[in-house]
Amino acid sequence: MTDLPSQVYLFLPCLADLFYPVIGRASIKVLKGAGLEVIYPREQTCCGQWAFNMGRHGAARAMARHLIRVFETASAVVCPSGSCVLTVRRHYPELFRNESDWKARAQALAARTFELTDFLVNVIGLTDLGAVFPGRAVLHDSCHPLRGLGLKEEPRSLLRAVRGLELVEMAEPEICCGFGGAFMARYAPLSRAMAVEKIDQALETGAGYLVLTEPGCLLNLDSALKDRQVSLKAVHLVQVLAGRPGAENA
Amino acid sequence: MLKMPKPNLFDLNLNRALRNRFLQLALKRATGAFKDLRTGIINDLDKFQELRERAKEAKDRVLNHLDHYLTRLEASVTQARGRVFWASTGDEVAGYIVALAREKGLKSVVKGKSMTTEEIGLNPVLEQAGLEVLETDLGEYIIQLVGERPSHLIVPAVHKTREETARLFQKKLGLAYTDRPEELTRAVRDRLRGRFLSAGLGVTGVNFAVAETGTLVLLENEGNIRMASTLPRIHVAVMGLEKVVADFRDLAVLLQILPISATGQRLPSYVSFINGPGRHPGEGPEELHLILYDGYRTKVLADPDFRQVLRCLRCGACLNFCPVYRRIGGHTYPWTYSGPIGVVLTAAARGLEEAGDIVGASTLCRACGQVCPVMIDLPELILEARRRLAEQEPAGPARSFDLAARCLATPVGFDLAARGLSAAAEAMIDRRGRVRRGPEKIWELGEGRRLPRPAEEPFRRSLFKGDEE
Amino acid sequence: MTGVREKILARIRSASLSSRGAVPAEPGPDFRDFSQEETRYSSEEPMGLFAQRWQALGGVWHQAADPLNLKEILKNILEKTGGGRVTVAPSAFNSAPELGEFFQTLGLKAIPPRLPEAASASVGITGAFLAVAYSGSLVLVDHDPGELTASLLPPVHLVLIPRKNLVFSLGQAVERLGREPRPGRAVFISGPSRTADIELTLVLGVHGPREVHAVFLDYDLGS
Repeated sequence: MTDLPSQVYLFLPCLADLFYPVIGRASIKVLKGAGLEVIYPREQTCCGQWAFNMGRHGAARAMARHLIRVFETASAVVCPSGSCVLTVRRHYPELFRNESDWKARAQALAARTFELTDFLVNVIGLTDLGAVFPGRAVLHDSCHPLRGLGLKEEPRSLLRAVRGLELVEMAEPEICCGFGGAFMARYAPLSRAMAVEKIDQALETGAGYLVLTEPGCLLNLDSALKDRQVSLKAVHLVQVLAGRPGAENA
Repeated sequence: MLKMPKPNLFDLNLNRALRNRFLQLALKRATGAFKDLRTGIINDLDKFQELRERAKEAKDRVLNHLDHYLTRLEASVTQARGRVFWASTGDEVAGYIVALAREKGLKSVVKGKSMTTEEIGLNPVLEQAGLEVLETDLGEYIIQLVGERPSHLIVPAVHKTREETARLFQKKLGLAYTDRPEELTRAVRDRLRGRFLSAGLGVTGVNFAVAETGTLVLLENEGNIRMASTLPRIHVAVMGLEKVVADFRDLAVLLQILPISATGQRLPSYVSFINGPGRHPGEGPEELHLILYDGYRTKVLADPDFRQVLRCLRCGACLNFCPVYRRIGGHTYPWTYSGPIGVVLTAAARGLEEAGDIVGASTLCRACGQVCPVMIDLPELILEARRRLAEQEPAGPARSFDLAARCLATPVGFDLAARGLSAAAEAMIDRRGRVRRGPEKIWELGEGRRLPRPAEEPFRRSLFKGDEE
Repeated sequence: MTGVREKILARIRSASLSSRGAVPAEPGPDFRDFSQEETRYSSEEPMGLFAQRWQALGGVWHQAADPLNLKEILKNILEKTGGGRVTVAPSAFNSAPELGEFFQTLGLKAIPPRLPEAASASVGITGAFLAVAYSGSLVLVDHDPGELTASLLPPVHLVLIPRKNLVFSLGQAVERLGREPRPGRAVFISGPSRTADIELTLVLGVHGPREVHAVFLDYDLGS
């Protein structure tokens, strides 16, 4: 029986780092609130998924080597993005299939790297973090945590434990929102059509918050939402777990 | 640094599909219906995952020894008094049928729906040789009449409204205008009945060909394939090499999973088992000809990564679950096959050049791989196609990309890039997220969005200031 | 065209993995039923399951307790179809030998089950080799002539089938079709002919029959 980790390293997706730093702050708050010591190695850059998805393995390897070095000494690595974790777990070993030492280091890192909801629910067994966030929320099932990592109930268990939060479901939560990385820019009209459909389904539930577990999906849906005069807000799940400011009266 | 390709024919077709409101509605309904029907039956089955694995195994069995099973099939069909013809190219297939028709003095052909014959482009060649070719599947009949390509694998004319079909029948068939599907269908039934009874040649595809017994298995809902394979004097069945199945045990597995994946039916209205020509006069063709067609198949068999696509049952589940396909429809894909299987098949069979655009038009959502009944790893194959495409790039651009990545892999390089991105965003996007200047692609991206600018203080820098919560 | 055949086989052999080994000799697993309905439904239920599935597909279901009952059922169906032209395949008589005189009493014109005559029949009557509960299907074979014609051309199709010919699963049905003597042709019929090609609207009776009746004979024929 392995001991539960007492210290975790925060692996922050580059999109969160650059566009939604609140995700970084919320992640630290939530993990500390769970009783963990959190280390954020600031030399980290990016997992290289965008390069890998473009088929540019050489470039992806360059980014991967750096990430592996940065987190080599971590006993547990937690990331608020399933797609980054999927990249490390499934694609890093593939990238280094011809380099046995790097492959071993990649596999070692993969075994210690967790998506945030997976870590909270399945590794440290915590679904109730004492969060307070009043409102009605609807969750979009991002593709990579869902179909890549098999995570479906985990975000829901966490959201259901949030005080004051009513969790509802949209008609088709599992359909892709249209982010797809470079896809959002390369096929902008198509991506937008997909985002609009997702937003319309969220609006139909009457929710005030559209909750995402992926910074990429957040970027896609948030930017499309803001162009409409609606009160629906897009937030990352970790922001909900960190609580709504001023709502901690209970 | 990130080079955006110029808009091309693919983009034009794609955007046109997006603007076609009826197409969007039709595709959404069709894919939604098939998805729901499939899910309904699967919820009833205890062992769907096992069935998938067993189906994959059945297909791999023949692919690993394709020569053995094809020669076995040839012997069994021959023993059942059928004739077998091997063809490498579409021209050879067409040539055989034309020669056969001439030899027997036959002029009219009734056709069952067959993607293989569409892949070959058979109809125009037969017509040019003076044969009269009539598609008898209702959807195929409609698109043959209007001269368009299929937009969906199972319901090829789903992009046509009932009003369009009514006008088409009025114009091309001289029928009084009616847009009721029941009446339109009856009109086609009446028209085709006489043709079935008088046609000399029936041409169909094959869903499965059992090597052990020489049995051809054909699935359908309308009854036109039963007609085309029973009534004319000669039946020609055209199959891709990969359609062979080892024995009845494997057939039973595939027969269970195909209709569920395709249309959410346990079985379609008719499944025909055909062993040789008819045994009783007037109750089956005098002659049965089976054409074993290669085309791209041996080429793909030789590709260790892509050979798994030869397991494909042509069920269309990947199309129905693909969030991109359901918006762009079959017409946007460059080749006969659309959806995720079309993407990887085009890359493997027709080459990366032709597949380049469609390979990029994926969000890698992974829905396709999850639903494929024979467990083809479609998402990984899309990624592999992209890898091969990137590898083909000339050394110059590839090297500069690698250099940029190596830069981004260092904290200093990343920080510099972040500042560059901020500066660029500030120049192009205003505080409310609207694009104010920049290349066309940025304007396109900004349409219908309020683009976020990078945070004034990215997370990595805020911590340097000792901020903590 | 031996040249092409040899070239294709050669391409296959050079494309195949050198590690593929010999063709596996042992047969694959038995005819499994992946629906597990046989365990879920007791042995009393195959007819219940068949009736449910068949009717959901738009098929009409009847059970005849004895020959008199059968005649009543047939009389009812035939009166509703209106036209008097019936074609009967020999397999129907195998199930119900007394049918010949019965049709005479009804004043129906019996047409031989072959072309071109059968094309004008309004009703086709056949027997069936098997019924399959899982998929709500009837399986017809060509051991006797007329089967395929009588079941395909007329707009109404009646099937007479002894209850003992009912099996649970698709695997069982396929296994039986594989036993000698194998038929030249067989067809699984799961309800009326259908299409949804025009705006996804379901229309029944496209090229095959639009109405199909499964009449189970719940009695022994005796000798």
